[in-house]
Amino acid sequence: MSELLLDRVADDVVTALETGRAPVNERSRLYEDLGLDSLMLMQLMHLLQERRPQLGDLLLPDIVSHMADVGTLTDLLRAATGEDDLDDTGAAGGPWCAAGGIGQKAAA
Amino acid sequence: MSTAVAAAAVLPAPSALAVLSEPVLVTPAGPWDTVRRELAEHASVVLYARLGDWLPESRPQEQDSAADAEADSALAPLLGRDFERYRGMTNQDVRARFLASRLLLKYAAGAVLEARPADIDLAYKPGGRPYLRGCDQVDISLSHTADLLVVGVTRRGWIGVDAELESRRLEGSAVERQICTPHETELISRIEQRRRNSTLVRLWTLKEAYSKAIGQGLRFRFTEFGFAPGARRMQVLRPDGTPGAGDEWSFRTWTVAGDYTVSVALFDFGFGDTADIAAQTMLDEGMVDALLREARRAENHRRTTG
Repeated sequence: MSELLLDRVADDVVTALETGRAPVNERSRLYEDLGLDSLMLMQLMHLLQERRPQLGDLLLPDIVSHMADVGTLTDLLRAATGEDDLDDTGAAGGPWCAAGGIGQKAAA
Repeated sequence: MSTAVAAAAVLPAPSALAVLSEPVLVTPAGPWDTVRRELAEHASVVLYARLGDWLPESRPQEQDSAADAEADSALAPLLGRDFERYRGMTNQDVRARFLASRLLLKYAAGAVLEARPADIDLAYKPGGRPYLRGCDQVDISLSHTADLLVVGVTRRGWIGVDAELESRRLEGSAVERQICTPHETELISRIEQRRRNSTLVRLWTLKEAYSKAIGQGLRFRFTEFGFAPGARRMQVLRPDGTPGAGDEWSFRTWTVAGDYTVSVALFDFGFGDTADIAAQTMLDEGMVDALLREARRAENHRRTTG
């Protein structure tokens, strides 16, 4: 999985979370591991749409069915937008927590 | 109870007054007689609980894994199919609320069905809606946030409950634009500033409760239906403010435990009460269908061979 888009999605997840917790890797589950509740999910929806206008009117059912973990959410966005994973902006370090995630590995 | 629960300004429809009373505070010790009585009298009951009352006693972190295994062995039969999911949770706050809310739900269902909590088969529909397998005559709903747990039980139709901290900041957030219909936005703009956030929290819990009751959860866009904040009779409205659902629906909102807004949505099938819901005397609709099919098959077989 491309790490840049993953980093961006994880960054949106961190912003939406009110818990201050960051995902460890793409398998971090939004509810079981990160504590994303329904209001945080609405905030995440807003962030995803605001930063990706090409998403248009993102369907909440699609998001809910793909919100198991950061990786599946990233897959959905890639399929919906064809977002360019090779863009080189903003990947340094990523939002991953100190426990070590793929963003950190990429930066190392 | 009455000191902990203050009726909010949202008044239900006259018919709903008969079926929705104030939420009942429960611990594992009860009062389950009160819960059964409320359900018998009103056909529906909303329970609330404090998280700490439903968690096993915490152990020091350094305690050995044998103690963990012992605790797990006690929880496994209680949680049933939820046990593996519970064990896999790494977020301790989420884990605690998940455990406590499932225990509350099983104790509540056990109380009203006159069954042991461990014998309650809590299952989930594809959208995540919990239900009591084999007891379709009783509908349940669950919500938890921060230190509060809420369960709704009805024997008249569908129920949805939702709870949120009254102080949760929604006003001015992106969420506000995602949950309000144009009609609601207009109505909220007329409300005095200091009451707008609490009004939004109330709207949010009403919409969540309604979505849960119809089995949609967040799959139903919240800008496609609405309510009229401050209306004497709460009902579902279309985005333009015209009525969108009939009298079968009842809604009510309370302030619970001082800090929380709790809403309930109740759909009455209109079939009347299922007075006896004890597990031993209930026949699941699926089982009845299977029995009828078998009877028809036997009758056809008798005709063709007789």
